[in-house]
Amino acid sequence: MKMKVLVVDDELDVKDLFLQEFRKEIKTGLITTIFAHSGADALDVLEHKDPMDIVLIMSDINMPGMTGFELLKIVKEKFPSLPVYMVSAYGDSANMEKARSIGADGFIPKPVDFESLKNKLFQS
Amino acid sequence: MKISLKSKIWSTVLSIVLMFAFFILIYFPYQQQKSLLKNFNTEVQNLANTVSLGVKIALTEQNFTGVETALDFVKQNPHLRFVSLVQVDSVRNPGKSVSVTKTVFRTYPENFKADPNLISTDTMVVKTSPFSTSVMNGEILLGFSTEEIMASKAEIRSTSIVVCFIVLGIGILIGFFLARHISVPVMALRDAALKVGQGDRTQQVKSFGNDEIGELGLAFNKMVRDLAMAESEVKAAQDQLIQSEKMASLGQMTAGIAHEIKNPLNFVNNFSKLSQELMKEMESEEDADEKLEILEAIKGNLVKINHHGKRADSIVASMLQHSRGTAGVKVPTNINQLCDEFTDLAYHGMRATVQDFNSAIVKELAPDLPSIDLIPQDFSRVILNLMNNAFYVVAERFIKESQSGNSQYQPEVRIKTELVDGKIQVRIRDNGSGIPEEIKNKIFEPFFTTKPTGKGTGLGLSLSYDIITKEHQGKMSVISELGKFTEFCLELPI
Repeated sequence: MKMKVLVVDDELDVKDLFLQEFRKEIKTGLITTIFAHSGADALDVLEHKDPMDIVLIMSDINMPGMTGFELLKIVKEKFPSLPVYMVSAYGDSANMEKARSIGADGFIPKPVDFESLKNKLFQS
Repeated sequence: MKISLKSKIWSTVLSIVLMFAFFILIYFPYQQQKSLLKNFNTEVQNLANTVSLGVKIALTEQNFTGVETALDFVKQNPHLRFVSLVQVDSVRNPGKSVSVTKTVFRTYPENFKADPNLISTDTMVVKTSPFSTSVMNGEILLGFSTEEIMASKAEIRSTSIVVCFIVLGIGILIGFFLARHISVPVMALRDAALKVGQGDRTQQVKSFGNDEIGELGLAFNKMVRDLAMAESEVKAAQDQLIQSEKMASLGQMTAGIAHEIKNPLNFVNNFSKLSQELMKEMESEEDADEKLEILEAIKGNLVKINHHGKRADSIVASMLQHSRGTAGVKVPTNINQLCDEFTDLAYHGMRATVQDFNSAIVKELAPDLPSIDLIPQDFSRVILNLMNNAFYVVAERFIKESQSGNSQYQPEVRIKTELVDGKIQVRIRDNGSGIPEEIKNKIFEPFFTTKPTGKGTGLGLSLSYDIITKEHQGKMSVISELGKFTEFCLELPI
């Protein structure tokens, strides 16, 4: 099964990082990644490309303009079944609790531990 | 018009002395002389009456030696100038009128030429006392010298002058005494108070004895000592507050710093781990092209690791700069870079503390700014402070607006640097609720804060003001429109 994941982060190097970390999975066709640099970009991707294709969103919280939480809220309204993982350096319990209350399906603290992320992704 | 205390004392003493002198020199002698003269007149009149009565009795009894005896009554008096027996005859004129002729009948001493019409002069009191008998009508004319009165008058005057000089002397002594005991201590107190006012808290005045002025001096000394003590206590408390203000803004920064460090760390950790994996892959890779490709990826990763490592380093350096309390040294600083960094720190700090809120940040940093000499840790504190305030007020307004159902409000904080007339201006503008006119002139005062207790020390702006105006010889001003915006402007000379 091919997974399409949308990664939302304002830092450009995140793209390189994900591409390298998932290079084997990408090579074997297990996963494909799309990148957006802001909440607005991400919504644009969801609106204009086939959203059903995307199986997971991983979004940073702290971004200029629309925050990850705002994006989460909109995504959960428009595509309630689409899982969203929040990725943030603010790994405190208040933030995690908040993410969960808005409807996030997972919380990945920064620095990202890709091994456990992969476990999470490919177990399910 | 300013009249010194000394001249007031002197004029009071002198007017008292002058009044005294007037009474002693003029009023009392005049009164005394008047009463003496009156008594003397009465005395002379009584004598005249007595003589007149004696003469009348003697004449009635036709006893002519009796007349002499009556006259003898005054002859012994040392002040007698003369005594005359005057015969008064009434002559009926052919008409109806009656004319009176007076003839001196006898005079003692005989050589005195008595005129029956003599009247009193300055040197002699003349009194008449009429008598009438069947033998003759007449009067006694008695002249007494006023020498005695004149003598006592002169005596009174000389006594008065002496008394007057004594009084004047005493007056001058009192004047000196008062001046010494009132004016001198008061002046010393004034000088000491002026010095205390200028900031010298070691002033103490000498003891002036135990009157009210002495007590005033003691009270003054105690006041200055208490003031010095209170000041040092306030100073200590202030230092502590300044320290806690630093700690508070540091605390606010920490959240921002954690975020700012974890992001680069995310890359450093993961790219280095990736590179290790890639190295292993490269070792087992046969294909030369593939090997080269992996090598390129590793190279790129190392560049990224280096970049993000430096990023973390500069964040830690900023934090250290900020927390260091030592007196800063001015170093050439890129003001745009500093504004950029600390705007981000403040932003992340705010993001970490206020949930559910975001603000747009607009940075308009003029690209051609010269670097200027400033104390980075202090100047960055100003930027951090102003930015924290800006984010605080837009967040506050955001919460207020959304509670009243208004979702139109778009929080925005702007920072702008530019070169104006050879000076660097930094403008920090927020679209919060603005500053009410009545507190506009208070915001730079120490300990003034509109934040709830525990949220702000009230020192942020006053410290910032000192840093800009005193340490950097710049200017700091604020413009604001209620409900629209607040803009702080920092102006720094190059």
